[in-house]
Amino acid sequence: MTASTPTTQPTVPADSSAAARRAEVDRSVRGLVLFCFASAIFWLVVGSFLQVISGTQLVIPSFLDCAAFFTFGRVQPAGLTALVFGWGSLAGLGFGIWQMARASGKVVRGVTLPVCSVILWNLALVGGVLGILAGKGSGIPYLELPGPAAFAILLAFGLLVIWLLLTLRGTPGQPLYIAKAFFVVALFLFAWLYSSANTLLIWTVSPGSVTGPIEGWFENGLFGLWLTFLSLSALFYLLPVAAGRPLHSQGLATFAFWTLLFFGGWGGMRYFIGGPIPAWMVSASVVATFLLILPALAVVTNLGRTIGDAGSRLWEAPTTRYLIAGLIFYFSWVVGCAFVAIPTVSSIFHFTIYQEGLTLIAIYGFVSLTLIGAILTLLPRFGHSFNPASASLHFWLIIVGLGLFATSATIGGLLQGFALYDVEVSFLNVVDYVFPFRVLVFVGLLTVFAATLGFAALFARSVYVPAKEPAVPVSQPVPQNVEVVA
Amino acid sequence: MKSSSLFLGVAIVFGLSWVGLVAYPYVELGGVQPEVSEETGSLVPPPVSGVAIEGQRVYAANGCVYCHSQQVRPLPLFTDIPKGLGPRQTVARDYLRYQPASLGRVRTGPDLANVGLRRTEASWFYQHLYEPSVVSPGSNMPAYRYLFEEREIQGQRSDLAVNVQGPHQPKPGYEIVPTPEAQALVGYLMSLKRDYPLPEAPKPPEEG
Ligand code: HEC
Repeated sequence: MTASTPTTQPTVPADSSAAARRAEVDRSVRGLVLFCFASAIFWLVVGSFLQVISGTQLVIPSFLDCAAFFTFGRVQPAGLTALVFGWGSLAGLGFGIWQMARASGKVVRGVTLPVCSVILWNLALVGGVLGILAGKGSGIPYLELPGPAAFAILLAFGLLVIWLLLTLRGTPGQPLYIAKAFFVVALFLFAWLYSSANTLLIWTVSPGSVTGPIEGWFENGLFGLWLTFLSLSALFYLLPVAAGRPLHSQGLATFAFWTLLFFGGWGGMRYFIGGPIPAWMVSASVVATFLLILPALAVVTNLGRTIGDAGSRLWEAPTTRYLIAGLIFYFSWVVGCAFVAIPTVSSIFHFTIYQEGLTLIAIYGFVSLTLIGAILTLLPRFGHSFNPASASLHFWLIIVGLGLFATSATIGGLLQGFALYDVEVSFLNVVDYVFPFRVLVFVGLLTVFAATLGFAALFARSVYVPAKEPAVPVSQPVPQNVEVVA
Repeated sequence: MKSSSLFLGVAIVFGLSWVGLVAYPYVELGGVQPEVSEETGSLVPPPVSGVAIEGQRVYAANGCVYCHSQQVRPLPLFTDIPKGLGPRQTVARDYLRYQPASLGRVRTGPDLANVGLRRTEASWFYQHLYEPSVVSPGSNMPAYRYLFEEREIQGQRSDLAVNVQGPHQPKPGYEIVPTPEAQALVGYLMSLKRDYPLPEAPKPPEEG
């Protein structure tokens, strides 16, 4: 990444004292950030493993059907919970902490509180995931964690955020850059989403007539705001740095931020088109889901223009390739959601394997590729090297898996959808039609699982070797040039 | 921009969705009450037994919702009604008595909003849950044998004993009976009948 093409604008020659300062900042948060990443990767492996089990069960229903603990309906949500609350959330938090430290320029002293919060988060999740497998889940997608576990996660989250605000707050008058804005606002949104959904559906009992709107609002916010903001924060931070240029447009970034926030909150009723929800809510969600293409376009254009002709160089590098692919999958996922929100399309595609495929694209395509890219970018900055060839291999494995998800979910979803729609076709025939596509999805899951194992091994090996002097010059300046609001 | 004004802006913009999709339905939909139907003179939605409420929990804890939806979508865009999933579309009030409602996102298995209308024999449900692929060859629904127990026949065979077909037969002299959980679950499934009239969800005219 040190190579610079002649067309690249010269990066500001950082004076050596600033570089030394940055190195010191990095060193001060290194342990904490790596601990977040290690926890996240643990959950990535656990979650993907559980996904492989439940994927197997869809193809071989008798697989592990001896015990309640391994029944499909528990393994599936346990896996998704691990991936979202363990992997995506902790990896995004880790990156965000580093980013906040960098932006504030402060050397962190004392990380006991945040380390304890992450430990608490992990313990809550261990308890919660085991609880789901033991039959203590709520049966509400993504709100499965038993009440006490959800509470402990929120507590851990709250402590972590308080620590962040107390120690790494920017100095007054400092502009708020887009990447950091995505991160801090994500924190705010997660607190809101998770506490209000748990309060209304898990910690207290609400009549079933309101479950739908609240769970839809929550699930949509969890993916469309929390995980999206965490991942976009990493992309907005890292891609300009890697390209060595300032972000293309401040206006576009601001536009994307606010439209994402506005439409992102409203999309959740798209899971209930035709369902038992007031029609105006569903219409609002359909429109919002559609309009989410606008911020996605703005993000892609903005970052694409920023990269510009450095694109091929970034694609060659094993780390930035992850980031670019993450960006592409972000856009495909948004378009995929908008497509199935069209009511006519929904009448065919809804309830099919297509929906399951979209979730996998969001988790493994957008979020995982982006955050793996972010982790791989930070490792050398912390003085840990890794083998680029194996990073590249894992990348292609994930891409093969994602390709299988995308094609089988689309074609299989189409077949399954028409069969479900057709009055003449019996249900068992529908099961037959999708079977081959479920096999393909399963192969995709296996491939991705292999890649996650490989990535975990890469990370472990890289961190195990004691840190050397940072392999990447820490003098690279951060492109702090875009405020959220001018 | 000051961060306080940023957060105020964020709170307002995002808060709108919270008001519209969380607070409003919580008050409006959560506040609807069962009514005496003008058509039938009885309460709609009809009361649900304690066993069924218990069964809802078993349904939730075992993740049936990850394969089964419970929503009937209206004509003309959707074919749920001609496919026999229910006599009319489902609306929010239909879920009033369940906590939570399991609306579902996928139909790996058939919709269950009205399974209690289609299947009326508890013994069928037990047989099916015990080994779905025996009752429905080709089914990829998992077996829920863990919701049953094998016990020695004491005198007479239990009324609830499952008429087991297929490979997982009890030992001679033993029988397979549903656990209280399975009984609650089946009570719940059999309670799933949305055929009572609701003014906001008229039945479409029958076709010949
Ligand atoms: C892996 C997906 C899957 C899971 C999990 C699952 N089912 Fe099913 N279910 C199916 C499929 C496929 C069918 C259709 C074939 C059949 O009848 O077995 C079905 C059929 C049914 C039927 C018959 C519906 C009818 O109209 O004939 C009932 C009742 C049922 N399931 C109840 C349950 C319950 C209760 C649970 C949870 C304890 C559950 N299912 C979990 C896939 C699943």
